[in-house]
Amino acid sequence: MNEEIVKHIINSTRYILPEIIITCGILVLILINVLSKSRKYSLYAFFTILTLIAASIATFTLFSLPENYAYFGMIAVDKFSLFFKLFFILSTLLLALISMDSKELLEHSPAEYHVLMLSMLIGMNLLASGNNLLMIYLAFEMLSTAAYVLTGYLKQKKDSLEASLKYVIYGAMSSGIMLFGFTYLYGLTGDLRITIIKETLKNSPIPQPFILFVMILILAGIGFKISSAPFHFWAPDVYEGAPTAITAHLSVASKAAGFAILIRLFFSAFSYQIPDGIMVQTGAPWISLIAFLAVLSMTIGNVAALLQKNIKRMLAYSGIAQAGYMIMGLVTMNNEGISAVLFYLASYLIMNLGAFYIAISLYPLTGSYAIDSYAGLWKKKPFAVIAMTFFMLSLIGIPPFIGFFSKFMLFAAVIRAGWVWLAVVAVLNSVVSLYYYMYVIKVMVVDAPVKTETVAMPKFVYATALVLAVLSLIFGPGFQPIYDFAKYSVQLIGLR
Amino acid sequence: MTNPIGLQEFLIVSAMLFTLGIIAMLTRKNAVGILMGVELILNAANINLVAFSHFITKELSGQIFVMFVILLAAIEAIIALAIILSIYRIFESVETDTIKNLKG
Repeated sequence: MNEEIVKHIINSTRYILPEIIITCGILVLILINVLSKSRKYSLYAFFTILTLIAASIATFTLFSLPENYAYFGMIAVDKFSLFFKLFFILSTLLLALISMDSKELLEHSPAEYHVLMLSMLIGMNLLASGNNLLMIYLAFEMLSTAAYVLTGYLKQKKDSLEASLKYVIYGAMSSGIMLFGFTYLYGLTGDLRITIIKETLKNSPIPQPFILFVMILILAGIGFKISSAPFHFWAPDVYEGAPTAITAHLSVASKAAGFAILIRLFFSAFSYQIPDGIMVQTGAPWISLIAFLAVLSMTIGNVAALLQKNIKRMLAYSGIAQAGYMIMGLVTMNNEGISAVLFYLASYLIMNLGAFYIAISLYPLTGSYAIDSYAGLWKKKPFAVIAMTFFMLSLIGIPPFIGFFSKFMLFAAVIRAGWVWLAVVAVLNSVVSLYYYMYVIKVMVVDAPVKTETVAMPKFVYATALVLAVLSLIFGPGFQPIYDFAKYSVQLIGLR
Repeated sequence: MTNPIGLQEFLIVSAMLFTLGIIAMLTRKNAVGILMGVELILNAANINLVAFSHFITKELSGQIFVMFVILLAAIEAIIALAIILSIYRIFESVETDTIKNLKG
């Protein structure tokens, strides 16, 4: 009996190879920090990027292994979790790359910054593959605490500290409520593993009001992560106050981590598949709950974004609305909808990171993040304006950019599943969003120029933003590879 | 004893603690007071887990979960207090109604 347990643990280790590599990277960074006297931050950035490349190679090798559970049902290693691991590694790689430009982020203690970045990555990786309520909660907290510290990293700036305090307060409350929901789920079903929860909910039905209440509690925590209304109140302040590189990373990576656990929890625990492939919801009618959240997020995000004058707050509210569109993809209850959501997340990475990186690049010139300070930049920095135009048009969903194709696949999946009214609401919201995205383009191109400093733009950030702009144009008509990869990845192991 | 302490009593206590924790988080202005509310919420979850582990599942998984939740409550308290300390150095106060630099 003991030998079997030891053999299982040893065999499971190969499934967490990426996380082991990242942990070794963290240890190496701490060692270098202790032993070396050099204060050059490019040394730590170099090791971080090396670790991330090694972790991505390890993730690619995991694709060929058969799907399995590791560590007695703690971690589910399937294509779904590997898709998200690659997503998070990519976002962290870009963050490490562009942080090399920011003197204020790295001059103080570069080793701690990179260690926090890598810890956040481990938390996200484990969250995307968590199969056990304990693993989910631990990974959620690991991700959140690293994010709290990174948000408040510029300790001298009032904005950064206030954003971090608000993030901690909202985050602790939401994760506490989610934990309370997890305890009731454990009590009602008798086991912590998601697959056993599914079997229990399918076979012995539990009175619906209880399960619905538990689902609402759990959605409080997950809704906080994906910045869906009515759990979105932290997003504008945290996005505005945090260092913009961290804001960009949070807006894409932690949102995707929330969606990973939302999909895994609701499609592996709260629904099951009947023999001809259709998914049926179990426990309580949560589809209407999800649809309500989607409509609320879209509407509140879009309407509030109309009034914003700061580009970071505008992108925060636009992120709330985009989260609403993505939640809508979950009501379809079929593989087409989920793969559309994954494809939308991939396109969101390109669009949103690009928009934030242009804002970072323009900051030394204009000295502020107010949209009106970008007036007339078309004359001085035409390529930056072209890139920002690409990202704004892509966020609206105008062809030939990638945003149009991802919105199209999402709306098509929702309509084909029969939720036509929801798709109509989403299209109307997209029309409303036209105003505030176009306002940025209008200010940059049409308005009279204001005085700006003549300094150079930060090299790495600007180069990455231009590359992302080109990608948003190429992957528009060429979206098929990404969409096929998303479709291939929708193989949740607990789905049968 | 005609009415030994059963599962319901534990659940009522933890629900009361949870509600008190939520009220503490929503109404207090002092950041450290809000942190006390977080601790109440996490401990309510702990009571829930141990009660379910003892009365319903008769396995140890709930109690192992409790060990990790205690650890995470400590971690969150450390992080939150470190942030509050940095805020006190810059803002000179920890009341949330005076820390209103960002709009809204």
